Amino acid sequence: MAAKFFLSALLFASTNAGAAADAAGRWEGVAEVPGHPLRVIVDLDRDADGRWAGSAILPGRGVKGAPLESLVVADGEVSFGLAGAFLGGETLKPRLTLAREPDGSMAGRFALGGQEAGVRLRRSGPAQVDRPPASSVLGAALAGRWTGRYELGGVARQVTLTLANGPDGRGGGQLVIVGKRTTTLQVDEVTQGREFVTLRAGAADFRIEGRFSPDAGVIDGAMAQGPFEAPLVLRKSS
Amino acid sequence: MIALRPIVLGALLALASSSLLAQAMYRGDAAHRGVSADAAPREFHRVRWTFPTGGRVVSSPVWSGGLVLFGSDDGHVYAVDAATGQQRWMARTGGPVPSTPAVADGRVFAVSYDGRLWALDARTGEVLWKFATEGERRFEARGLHGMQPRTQTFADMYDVYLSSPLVVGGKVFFGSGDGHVYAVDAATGRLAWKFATGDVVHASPAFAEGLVVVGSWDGRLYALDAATGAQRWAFQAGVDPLIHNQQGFQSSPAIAGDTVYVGCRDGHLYAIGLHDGAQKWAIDTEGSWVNSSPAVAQGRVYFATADTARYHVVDAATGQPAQAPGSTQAYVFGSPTVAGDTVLVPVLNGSLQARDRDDGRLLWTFRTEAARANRDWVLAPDGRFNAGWLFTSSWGDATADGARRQQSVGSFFGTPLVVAGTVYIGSADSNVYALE
Repeated sequence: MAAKFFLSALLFASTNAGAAADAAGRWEGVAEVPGHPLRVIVDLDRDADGRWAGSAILPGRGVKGAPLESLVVADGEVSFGLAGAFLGGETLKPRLTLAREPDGSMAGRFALGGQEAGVRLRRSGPAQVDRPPASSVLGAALAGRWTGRYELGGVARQVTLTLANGPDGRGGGQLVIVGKRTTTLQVDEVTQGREFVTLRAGAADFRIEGRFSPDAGVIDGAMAQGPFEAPLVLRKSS
Repeated sequence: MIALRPIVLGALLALASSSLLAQAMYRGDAAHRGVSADAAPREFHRVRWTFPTGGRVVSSPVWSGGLVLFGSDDGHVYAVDAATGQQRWMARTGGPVPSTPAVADGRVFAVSYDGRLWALDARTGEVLWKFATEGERRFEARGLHGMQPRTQTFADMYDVYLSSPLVVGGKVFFGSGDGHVYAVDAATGRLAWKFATGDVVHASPAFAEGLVVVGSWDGRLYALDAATGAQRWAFQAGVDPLIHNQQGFQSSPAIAGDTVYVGCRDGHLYAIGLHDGAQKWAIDTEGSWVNSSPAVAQGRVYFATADTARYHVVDAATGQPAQAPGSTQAYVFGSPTVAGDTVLVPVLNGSLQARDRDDGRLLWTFRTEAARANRDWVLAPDGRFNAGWLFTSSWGDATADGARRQQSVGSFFGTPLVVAGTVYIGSADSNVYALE
């Protein structure tokens, strides 16, 4: 009895492992939103550490390489969030929940803002996962508090930028912009090159790019948001 | 008793005719206070009739002699029997008619996208005369609303109205996309005067004490002498040189006593002195457009906002809130009608809200079939617009596409007309509804 149980457990485990491994690849299909079918292309693969990673393409919506959030690949099922693919995605909480079908496809539900539609994806080739650019590890000269000012449309905005390495050891931070109103943005990408520093707050498509002078404690460059750019000089204040 | 009957009847008829006459132009009367003499139903019972047209109905219905008159983006002005919903006549213009007709002395006046003011016979729809402006156009600007490329000029997809004519003292007053305010003789169609503003005028002029008051997309509210067109004063509201989003008067003014109440795209509702153009108070709507034309009744101002989707009731003298703001779920461009103890609020998500006038509570909601079906997930389950689903990009025509999809649920852009307990309103689903 014990041997039989052990054998069946082994078989079960190997089935799961097979199903999970089988999830790797490029998957294409359609979410059947009434009156507005949504084409979906999903790339799924394991990274160098053996963890599942993936990205999505939504043709016609201007989305390429959107990261798959809270990705779960297990027991023949795949589920992930797609907040980065939609304006206000944190509120809409778009999510795909899929299960393997006998014909090799994956079928399930596409949920967005409390509504759901059926979706079916079929494998179309090997995975081509777009990896999100990793932030640099920040040195002491860049980490800390920076302040500056820019002007758009005749309105001055005060900027306070706080940069630090996060739990993953890579740079991130917070941006507070005070104009007519106060806006707080999460800086989710910091890239330090040989001369230039680039910061990005993806939720607001807000970017800062400038020439970094560690000795002077200055980032001399510009801010950009959508179609707008304005000169911005940030000075280290702590 | 017998002797009294003719007097009572006469008084009733006089009351009735003044009530009905008061619904013969945009926002009810020349002061545009948005108040109906008749009460709206406190409960929704049924759709009495539905009148289909060939295009979006942005125009508001008005009343004349048992007829409901309105324009449609299919290019026609319609006269429909209010009791049955049967068409009496339709008059073809040279373009869409997102303007509310005005009826006076047996004539119907309407502005069409063909750039003309049309005068029609109210009984037959026969064309009496046409007056040509320099031509219609939508408000447009480079990089409008942050659309890209930044140097591209975009027409504003939310500039949905044309100016609705005002008829006072034998003259027809209206604004035009050519930037002028016109005064035209109602009998002959001859120009009396015209006044140049700095941009498109698609709001409707209001009248009181010899002044015609109207806002322009140049960010100014003008008071003009009704007799001569001479400027008495101009009130400068906010401008937005960056993306031209927080600028322009799409809302039409309402005048009560010595105060002009008007919403602005600069994110304010203003109370302005009728005689001097000085600001009395302003309500900051947190950047949300106030395209809705305010209603003024019993010392209160009723209006609603676009992005913040709020229904406001404030004290007319001070601007202080008289009620806690209510949620409309989605943008409001249409204008509230105060009808008895009920306020009707048209919403762009294809719903018409009826609220208690005194405490603001929601009494009933009518939703178009398109809103109920909600194809394409235009609306979230709670009635808000699924903006993240509808708007995919700020480039090219993507923003305009999103706006078009929003309207597919049958947006209510107009002002509800209330006569004898029935509510008449047009929808972007191409229908005019009679609700009771």
